Amino acid sequence: VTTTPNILLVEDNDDDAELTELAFKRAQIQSHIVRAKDGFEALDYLRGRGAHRDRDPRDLPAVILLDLNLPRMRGLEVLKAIREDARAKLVPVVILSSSDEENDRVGAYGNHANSYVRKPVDHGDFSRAVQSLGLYWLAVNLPPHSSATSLAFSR
Amino acid sequence: MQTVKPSGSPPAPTPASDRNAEERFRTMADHAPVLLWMSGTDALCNFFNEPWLAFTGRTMEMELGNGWAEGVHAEDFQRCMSTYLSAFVERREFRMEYRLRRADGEYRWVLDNGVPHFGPDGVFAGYIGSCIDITDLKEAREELDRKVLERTAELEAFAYSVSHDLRAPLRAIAGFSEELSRSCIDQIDERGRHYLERISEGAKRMGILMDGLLALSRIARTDLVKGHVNLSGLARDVLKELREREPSRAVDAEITDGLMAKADLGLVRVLLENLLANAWKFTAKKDRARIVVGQQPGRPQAFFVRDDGAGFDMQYSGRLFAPFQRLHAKQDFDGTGIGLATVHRIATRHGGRAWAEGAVGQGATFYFTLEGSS
Repeated sequence: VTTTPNILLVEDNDDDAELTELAFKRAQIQSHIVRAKDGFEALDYLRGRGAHRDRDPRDLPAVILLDLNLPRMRGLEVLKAIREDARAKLVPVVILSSSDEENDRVGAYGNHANSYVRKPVDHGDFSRAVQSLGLYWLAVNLPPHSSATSLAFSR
Repeated sequence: MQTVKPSGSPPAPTPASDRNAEERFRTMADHAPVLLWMSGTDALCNFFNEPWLAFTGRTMEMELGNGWAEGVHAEDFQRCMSTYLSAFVERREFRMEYRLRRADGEYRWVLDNGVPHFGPDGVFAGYIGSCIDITDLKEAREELDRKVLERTAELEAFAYSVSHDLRAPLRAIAGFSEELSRSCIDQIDERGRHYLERISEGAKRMGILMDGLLALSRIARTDLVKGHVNLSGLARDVLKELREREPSRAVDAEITDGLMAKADLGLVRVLLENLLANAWKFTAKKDRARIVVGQQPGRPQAFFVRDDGAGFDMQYSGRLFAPFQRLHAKQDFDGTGIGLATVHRIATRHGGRAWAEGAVGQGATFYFTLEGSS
């Protein structure tokens, strides 16, 4: 049994991170969530650098959940950096944003996001959104790397 | 030395009436608050009034012919000459803006309006032109444009902030009160549960209000793309959606065919959605309701949506279209108070307006125009 996490959550807001983790737990989706507080940490994690230098960068998450409103490096810049990374560029990225502004959506898809989800204020709606996207990206969707594929079902 | 005059009859002296007319013209030209010039059939200038000479600080001799063109700014020279000469060839009136050097050396923007003039026999005699200094006007206009851009940017930043930053703490309030009522329900008594419910309700409502506000600001920020819009068809679509959402309601709809307007399709749809949802909502207490969409008789550019629902007191009609103003208690008719503000803003963005008529218990009529009344 591998212990590699299968979701990378890039979220600076502690409340949102906790609520997202709670929603996954409630949905009873088998998953392991690693959280990065900003884009730099997320990129370090994906590349096995900095605080994550002991990690094998070949173990990629099945999906990256990316907030747009991030400190230091905006969400769209993080997305661009992921898409330019030799290994991580194929990992599905789901934007989880407060905004439903057209500019944000066009920017996200323009930089090859795989999906765009607006975080609802209502917790029931939020839990349902997390449940369906968790089911889809971890169980229905086949990620590019086989290690991640087996992972979704092995845990 | 005496000039030898040709033999024959002596030259006719200039009649006194002609001299008077010329003098009157001079007086008028020299005291007009505009810069005047005249040219002959050869397109060369043959007259400048006092204000022109005072403005350029040059003498009549220097300005005559093409001399005046020395004062035109180098960047405007080509355009200025070709506008003048191409109009001249066709004997057409022209209007142009260019920079002209003032006596103190400063270039000022002038608006020059030239018209061909003809003799009493209808023969083309040249051009008469008048110029005014529009530099201050131009600068004021540019300043205004700059301000509009600035305000729009501020509005965008505000909307972005509402959309991103204010929703996060709201999600925390809604989310954790929900988690509290789920995970720790055993430790909370009846009263505590009631309070938790109120917190959730409040957060949810604030989310709806913020979305309404955002939608309102979006109307100001979107570019208007006008086309021919079929209001009758749109109204039918919207009513169909309302019926599908609440199939149990009995609502008779009467929509006049062929209501057309030159407007932005997306925005007009939002306008009709708000007015029809409003009519739908305020007739909810009737067994059988009636909604009419039509055109005001004798004023075809004024459209209306009429219902036979709860109505309102005309005393408050001025408050109807202001954001967050509501005339009914939330428990009677739910709403955010954003809908009619949205309608009003869409109408004014098109150059039109929105107004209402009604009476308590006797229904309401909401009118709107999508262009300035001409």
